[in-house]
Amino acid sequence: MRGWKVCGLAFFGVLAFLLVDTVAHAKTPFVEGGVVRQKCSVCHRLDQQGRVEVIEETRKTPGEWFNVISRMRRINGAPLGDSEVKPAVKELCEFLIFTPAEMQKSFYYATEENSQFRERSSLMKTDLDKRIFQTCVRCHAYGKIISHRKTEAQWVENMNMHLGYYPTAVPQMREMDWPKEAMDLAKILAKEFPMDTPEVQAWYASKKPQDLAGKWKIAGYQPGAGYYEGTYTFKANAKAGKDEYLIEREVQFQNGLALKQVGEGTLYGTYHLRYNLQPTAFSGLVEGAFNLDAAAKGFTGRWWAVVQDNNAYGNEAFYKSDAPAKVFAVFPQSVKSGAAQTVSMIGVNLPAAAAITFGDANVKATVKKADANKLVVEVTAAAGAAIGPTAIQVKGAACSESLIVYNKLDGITVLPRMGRSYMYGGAAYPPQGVQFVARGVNFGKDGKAGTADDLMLEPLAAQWACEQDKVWAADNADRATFAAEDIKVLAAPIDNGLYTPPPDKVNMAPNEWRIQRREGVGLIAISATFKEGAQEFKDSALLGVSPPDYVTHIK
Amino acid sequence: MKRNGLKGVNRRAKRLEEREVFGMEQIDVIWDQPVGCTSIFDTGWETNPRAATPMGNCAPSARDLGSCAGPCWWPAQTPDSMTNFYGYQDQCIAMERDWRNLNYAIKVK
Repeated sequence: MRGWKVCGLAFFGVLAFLLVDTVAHAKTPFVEGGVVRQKCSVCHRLDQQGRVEVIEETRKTPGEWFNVISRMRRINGAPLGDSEVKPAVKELCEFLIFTPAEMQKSFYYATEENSQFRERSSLMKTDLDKRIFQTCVRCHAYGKIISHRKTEAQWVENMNMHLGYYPTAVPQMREMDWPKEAMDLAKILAKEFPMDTPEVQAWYASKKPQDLAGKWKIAGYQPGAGYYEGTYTFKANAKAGKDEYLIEREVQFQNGLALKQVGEGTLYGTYHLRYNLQPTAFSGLVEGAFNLDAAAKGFTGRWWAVVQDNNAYGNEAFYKSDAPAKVFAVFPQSVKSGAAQTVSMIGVNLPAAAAITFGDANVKATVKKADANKLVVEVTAAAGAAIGPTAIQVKGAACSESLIVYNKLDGITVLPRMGRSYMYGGAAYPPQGVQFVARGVNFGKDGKAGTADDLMLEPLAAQWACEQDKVWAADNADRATFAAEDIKVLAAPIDNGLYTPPPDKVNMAPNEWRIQRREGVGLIAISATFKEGAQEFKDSALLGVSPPDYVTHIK
Repeated sequence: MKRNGLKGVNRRAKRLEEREVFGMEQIDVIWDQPVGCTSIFDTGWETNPRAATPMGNCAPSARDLGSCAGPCWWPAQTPDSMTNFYGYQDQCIAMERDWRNLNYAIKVK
């Protein structure tokens, strides 16, 4: 009898444990059969609050989720096969992705090659940014820090992880008491980049599944190649799963180049699209990242060639064929007053009889050709038209674009102001180039160069050259010696603004004639010269060439 | 930073003794680690002649990469062979000659 009692107590004990366990574990949104619970929960068990421990105390961009899973597989032996990585990231992003507003601030880190130039210490304005810069940015990009959201406990754990895995960070950061500073900063980061806020909860409550299948109208700009327009066709890729698409891309550049590409894409967290497009005769393997504005049915973002020898990338927007009527791109973006000029306006569901007016009544337009996706317009800005941007209004369609009106070319400017190129580092590390662009400049109403009202005009066909840097080396004889060496090793022909390091001399091999037998690193100037009539305009920007990017960017 | 029996003899070394600059004596962990690149005969980031610009290291790549990968000085930038990428440089016995053999730090998408 006593045995039955013991058995009964044990039965009810187990039942009670299971009930409590079920109730306690009921909170996690991750289903038991999913990759997260099946693979990540081998270590990350459900905690007392029913969360998958650690994982549900953080949110990240999809790129950083890829990074974390990669590290977990590499160091911690996470039992995920190659084919399970993307499903894991998709599942994580369903509940633990950034909101679109959060993504906006860190998007450059996932898409730009030269993101470190957004992050110079001189650009850090707030005390918090300066502290992050001193404590984290010596090793990481600032963009990486702001690609994470965590609870305070997890920000602290993050610092502990650094001490455990990378203890040499302490002596390396020897100008400060790094463990103390990092722990102090963890508490501040928890407030600045928190796991949970009312805004986050509101967005998660409002997000809805999206169906991208259909036609999309494209407009974009590729430095060095110019403006283009075209079409995406998205088809659901049922074999690959939910939110997976087969993509066809057809674009036509204004310079005549036409491209047809096919590829595959994935929509993360209902708004973040990542795709890859297969190589063609005119383009290498291409990747892209775009964010959806669900209400406007439009994506904006960037694509880039995976091998960056030609530094090919494009800023692009595309809107669905059933989106509300809208003009979303205008090119060229500036017109000279006093003469008629053809302007293309790209959009979706544009009215058949579109009437176009401008904020400045001195600017007139006549529609020469119109269809649902494009208006070809002859624009005339009278000689008295105000210098500067003028708003475009299209009757029957939304338009937030503007057109710059200028009266004369005052100068040129080379962009980017400082490009960064990677030298050749063997087959695994091809050279990375920089595409410079020379743009016209009008000095604006005040007629003075370098003021806030300067107007950036269209790209120009300039003559290009490599020159010895005189800016950095101006006040230091040692630097001048370096500069003389640099131009000798880095000089290369520049066609259409594109600098690609010649692999035979800009590489990792030590140069016996250089100070310290240095390899193909250095700093030079890239100059552009443009002639208009009897006038000659010249400008230059800096180009730094560094060792390869050994630890590849998240993108 | 200042420890018994150690005394700076030049201006740079004396600067390292200034508490407000370094404050290293407050750190009570991992004193077993060599402190700074200088202790393993690399020049240290303080000597990087191009500190203000984004190219170049404290030593040429052929030496710097080996140093960084071994004791894991810059794990965010170079594939360190202590924690993340074991054997990354095994095929590069002499980096100044074998740099073309450097392998990918693999990423999976």
